Amino acid sequence: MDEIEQNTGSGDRRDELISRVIDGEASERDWMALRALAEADPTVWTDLTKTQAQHEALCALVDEVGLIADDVELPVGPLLTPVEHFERRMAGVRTWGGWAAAAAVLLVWFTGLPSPTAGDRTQTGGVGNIGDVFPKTPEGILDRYMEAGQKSGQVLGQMPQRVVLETRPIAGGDGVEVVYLRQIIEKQVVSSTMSYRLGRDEFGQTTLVPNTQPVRPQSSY
Amino acid sequence: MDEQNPARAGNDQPGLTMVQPPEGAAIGPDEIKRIWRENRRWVAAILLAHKPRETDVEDLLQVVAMAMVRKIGELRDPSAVRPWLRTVAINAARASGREVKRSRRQLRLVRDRGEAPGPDGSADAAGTVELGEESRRLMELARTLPEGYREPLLLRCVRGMSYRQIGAVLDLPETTIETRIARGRRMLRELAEQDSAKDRSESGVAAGA
Repeated sequence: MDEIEQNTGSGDRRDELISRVIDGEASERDWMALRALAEADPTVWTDLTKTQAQHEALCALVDEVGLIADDVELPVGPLLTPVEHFERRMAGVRTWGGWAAAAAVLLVWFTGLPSPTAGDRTQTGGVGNIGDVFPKTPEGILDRYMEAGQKSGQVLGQMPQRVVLETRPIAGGDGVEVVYLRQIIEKQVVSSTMSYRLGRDEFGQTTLVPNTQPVRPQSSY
Repeated sequence: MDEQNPARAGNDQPGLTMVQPPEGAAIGPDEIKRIWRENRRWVAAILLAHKPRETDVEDLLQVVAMAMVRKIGELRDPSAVRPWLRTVAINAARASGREVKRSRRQLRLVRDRGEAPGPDGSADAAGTVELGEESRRLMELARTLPEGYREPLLLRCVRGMSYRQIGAVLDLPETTIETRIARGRRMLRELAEQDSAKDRSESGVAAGA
């Protein structure tokens, strides 16, 4: 302990002596030094009392947080990848009637009604070969969606950046598989009965509440 | 150095053992669980030192736990698990801070439109924990201390955590830890005195008005 006494000034020495007493570390020599300091300046005792009380108050808080920590266990089982997270979230969305119906409409709009006899190109109702009209690749379908959406005004555009969620090397091969988020900007008219704002519930928690106030123009970018 | 002293002792402390993961060996699920259990209390204290007021420690602990499971296998040096865990905790708290800032901006926009009440400032310093008024006030003041003082001060409050163990987490010598704790306590005491003086002068002004 002497190294501190040698290396620091008198202010620090006073602080360290007080600190050692609080931590139960003060040796006989430390106590003697503290008493000598207090003889010259009795506020040492006041500082000691205050610092001790503050230490105990902080420790009470850290103890509470420690009890919370004791209840937090590591997640059990294999973790979901971002893709699995996404799929799970989508499964949740699909159970929500309004959007499920909307998704079904979109599916029909862009891919056409599924043929009851898939692969049978003779039953195209005179339209001809369905493969000639509807693109087969996801990129092709997306292009059609963008084109139709922009024409109708529902799709404003696509952000040039893609948000990378996950990258992983291809097993046994050269290259990396990148899982990303494509950002497409759409617009939709929301009726006043479906408009919500951030508010507070009876417990003071932030929550969504029906919006009854007039909405002003606002932009987040 | 006083080896008999509780604050200076190492792994022999009840209630807190600093686990040393096996050198050079892959860390198995049981070992990860053990490391987590032995370290989560001080991780919570680190989160407390860095988290925004509005965020629950428990939520952040979940984030750290998740990151630990996902990433601990990538640790090149398993003995560096404590500084690594500290960094994970700080990153989680800072990310939450950025999130809170964004939410505050959104709330401010809503408030500017006169649609929602403003923040009442009553959020607990520890999130879901019910705290005494003095603890809450001191924690708010401790948050304003420089990081180098704030962390050792709070880690010293973790049951049984010695200077040596704090030094291992912060990657600093034991003597530096002791000095920082002592100075941090003085700084906190001075801040509390200033805060009380401000309160007194404000209530004096209010009474005089």
